[in-house]
Amino acid sequence: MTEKTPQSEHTPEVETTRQHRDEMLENALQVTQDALDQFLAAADVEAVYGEAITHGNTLIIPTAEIVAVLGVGGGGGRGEDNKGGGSYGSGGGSGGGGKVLARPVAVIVSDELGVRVKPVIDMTKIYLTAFTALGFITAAWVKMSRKKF
Amino acid sequence: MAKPVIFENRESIILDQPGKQIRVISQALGFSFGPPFSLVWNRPLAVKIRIAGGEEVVLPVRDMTRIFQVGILLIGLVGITALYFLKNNR
Repeated sequence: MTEKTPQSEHTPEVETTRQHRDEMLENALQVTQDALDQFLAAADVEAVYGEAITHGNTLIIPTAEIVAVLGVGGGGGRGEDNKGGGSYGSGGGSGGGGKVLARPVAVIVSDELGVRVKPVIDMTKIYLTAFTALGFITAAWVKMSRKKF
Repeated sequence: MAKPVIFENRESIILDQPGKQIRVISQALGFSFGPPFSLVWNRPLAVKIRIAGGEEVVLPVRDMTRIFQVGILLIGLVGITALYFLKNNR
C-alpha cells in the first residue's frame, strides 16, 4: 500500500484548486451579504409608506404592510482519485430564495378638512377567514353529533 | 454587518410646510441570523401631525382586515367551545 506523503497535499494543482474554491466561496458570500443588506432595506420606513401623491390641495399617502423572507444555503466538497492517480477534484454549490409580500393597509389623506387615515379592507380575505371558521365549526358540530356518550 | 434582531419604530417626514408637518411612523421586526435565514415584518404604525402652535395629533394606522380576521377566528373559537359545552350538558 502506498503511503500518502504530506507533500502531495500541497502540489501546485491542489493549491490552485483551493484558491479557486476559496475565491468562489468568498464571492458567493459577498453576493449573499449584498442581497441580505438590500433585503433588510424592507425594514425602512420608506418601504411601508409609499410616495405621496398630490392632486390639487389633496395629498394621498398609501401605506402597506411588508413581510420579507429570505433563505440561502450552500455546500462544497473535495475528493481525490481513489486509483492513486494523484488527481483531485472539488465542487460546491449554493442556492437561495426569498419572497416579499406587500399588502395595502390604509391610505392617509390630507386636505383642507384635515388629515384622515382611511383603512383599506380586503373583503376577499375576510370572506375566506369567515368560510374557514364556519367550516371548522360545522366539522366540530358534525363530529360532536356522531360521538356516543 | 446587520444586527441579528431588529425591533424598532422608525420615523420619516412626509410633508413639511409652514404651519403643518406630517410625520409617519413604522414598526419593523426583523431577524437576520447570518446568510441562512432572514425575516422582516414592517408595518405602518401611526401618523403624527403637527399644526401651527406646536399642537401635535397622533393618528394610529389600524389594519382593519387583520382586526376582522382575528375577530372572526375568535368568534369561531368561542362558537366551537360553546357547542362543545352545550352538547355535553344535554
